[in-house]
Amino acid sequence: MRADKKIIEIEIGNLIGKICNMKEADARLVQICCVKEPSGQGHFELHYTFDIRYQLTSYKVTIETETEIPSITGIYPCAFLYENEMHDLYGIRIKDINIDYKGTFYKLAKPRPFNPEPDKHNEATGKTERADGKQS
Amino acid sequence: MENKADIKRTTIPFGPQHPVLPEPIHFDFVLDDETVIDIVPSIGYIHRGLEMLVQKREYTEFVYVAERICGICSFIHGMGYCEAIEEIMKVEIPPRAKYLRVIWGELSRIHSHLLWLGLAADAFGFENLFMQAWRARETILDIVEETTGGRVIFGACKIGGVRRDIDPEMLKRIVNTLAGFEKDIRGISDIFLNDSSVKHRLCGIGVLSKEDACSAGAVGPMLRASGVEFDCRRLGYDAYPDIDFEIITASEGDCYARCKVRIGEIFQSLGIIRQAAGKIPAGEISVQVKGSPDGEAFVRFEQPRGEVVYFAKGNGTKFLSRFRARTPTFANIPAMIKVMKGCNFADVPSIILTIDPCISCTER
Repeated sequence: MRADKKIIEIEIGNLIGKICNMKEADARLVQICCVKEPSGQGHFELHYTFDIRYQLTSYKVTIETETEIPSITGIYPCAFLYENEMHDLYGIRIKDINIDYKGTFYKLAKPRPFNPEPDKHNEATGKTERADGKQS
Repeated sequence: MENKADIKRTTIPFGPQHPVLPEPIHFDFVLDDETVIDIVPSIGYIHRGLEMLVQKREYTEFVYVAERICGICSFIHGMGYCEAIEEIMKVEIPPRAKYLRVIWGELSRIHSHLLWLGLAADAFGFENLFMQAWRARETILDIVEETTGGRVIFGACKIGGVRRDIDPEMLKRIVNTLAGFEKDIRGISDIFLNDSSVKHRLCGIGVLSKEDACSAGAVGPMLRASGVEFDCRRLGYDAYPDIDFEIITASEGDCYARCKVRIGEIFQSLGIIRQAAGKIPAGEISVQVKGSPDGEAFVRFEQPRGEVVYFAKGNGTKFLSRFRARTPTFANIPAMIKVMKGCNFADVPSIILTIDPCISCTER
C-alpha cells in the first residue's frame, strides 16, 4: 500500500470517537464499505474512509452479523447513502440514520442480496427451500 | 383541516423516466409555489450488483466486468480495478504502459465532458450547440476506435499493463488531429462561456458554496467549481508525476462555474495528451502476473465526474472476497440535494445536468 493511505483496525466502541476526531480535523468522508468474510464465520468488516489533504485513512471495524452499529450521520450527514446501502445489500443493522429509507434505497428483487440467507434442505419433502421462498 | 401552508405545498415527481434525464433516477420535489423546498431522491431502479460478481469470476476476467460498469467512464473503471489488484500483488507496470493509460484516460475525459456539454445544451434548449458538441466528440471516439478497437468499451487495460500499444506514427497523427480538434472546440466553448442566452440559464443558478461542497462530500468538477483545489491526479498515479498541469477551479459555485471547469478540463486534457505523447518511453507494455491476490487495497483516480475509489480484497484464491467501486455520482448526491433546495423549479433540469449524473456508475 502506498504511503498516502493507511488502514487502521479499531474496535466498534471507538468508532464514534474516531469519526469525531476526523470531523474536527476537517476530513472529508470518502466512503463506507462493507466486506462479508467469506469464511462463514458470520462477521463483517466495515471500512470508514476519510481524506485529509490527499492522505487516505480507513478505519476498519469488525462486527458480528447481528451487531447493531451507530449511525455516523449525526457527524457526517452525507453518510446516509453508504449506511442505507450497507443495510439494503448486507442487512447491517444501523441505529438512527438521519435519512432512513428503511430498506427501499435500492429496489431489489430479494432482500440483502450480498448476504443472502442460506437455503434450507427439507428432509420430509427432499426439496431445498430457497431463502426467497421458492423451491428447487 | 389542513392549514394554509400545507395547501400551498405541492409534491412533483421527477423521473425515473424524464425527457431531460434519460437515466433512471427519481426525485420527489416539494414545492412552495415555484420554489423547491425539499427533495427526496430515489435510486436503485437498475442496481446490477456487479460488485458481487467478483466472487464468481476469476480476478483476471473481472476486468471485463469492471469496464462495463459504465459506458462513458469505462476505461478508468477497468484501469482502477487493474491498479487495485496490482497494488495488492505489488506489480510494477512498465513505464510505457503508464503513459498509455494516461493518454486513454484523458481521451476518456474529453469525450465524457463533450457528451455532458451536449446534454447540458439540450437541457437548456440550445439544440444546435448540442449537435456541435457531439459532432466534435466523434473525433475523439474515432481516435479511441483506431487505437483500441472499441468506441465505448476500450478493452485496453489488463492486470500488469495494457493490451495494445500505440506506435510513434499513430501518436504523431493523434497529436495533429487534436490540434485541429482544439480549434474546433474553441469555437464551441466560446458559445458556452460567452453567449448571453447560455449565461442567462446558468449564471447564479444552483450555487454550492465551498463549505457546503466540502461538508456534502462533493467530488470532481462539482467540488472544483466551488473553489476547492482537489484533483486525484495530484496523487501521482501512472505517469502524472512527469506531467505538468494545473488544477482547474472556479469560485462562483453555480451551474456556469461547473460548465467552465469542464471546458477548462478539455483543454487541460489536450495538453496532458500532448505532453504524454512527447515523453512516452519505448519498451514493454505489460508484465506477466503470477499467483493470486492476497490482501486488501484502496486506490483512487480522477474520473471525468470526479474522484472514484476502488477497494479490493483478495484471499489468496482466484476469486476476490470483495471489489467495491465508490463512484463520483454516488458521492455527489448529497451536494445535488443541497443545491436544489431553494431553487426555482424551472432551473431543476439545468442543475441536475450540471452535476453530470451517471446513473450507470451509481447503479453498479
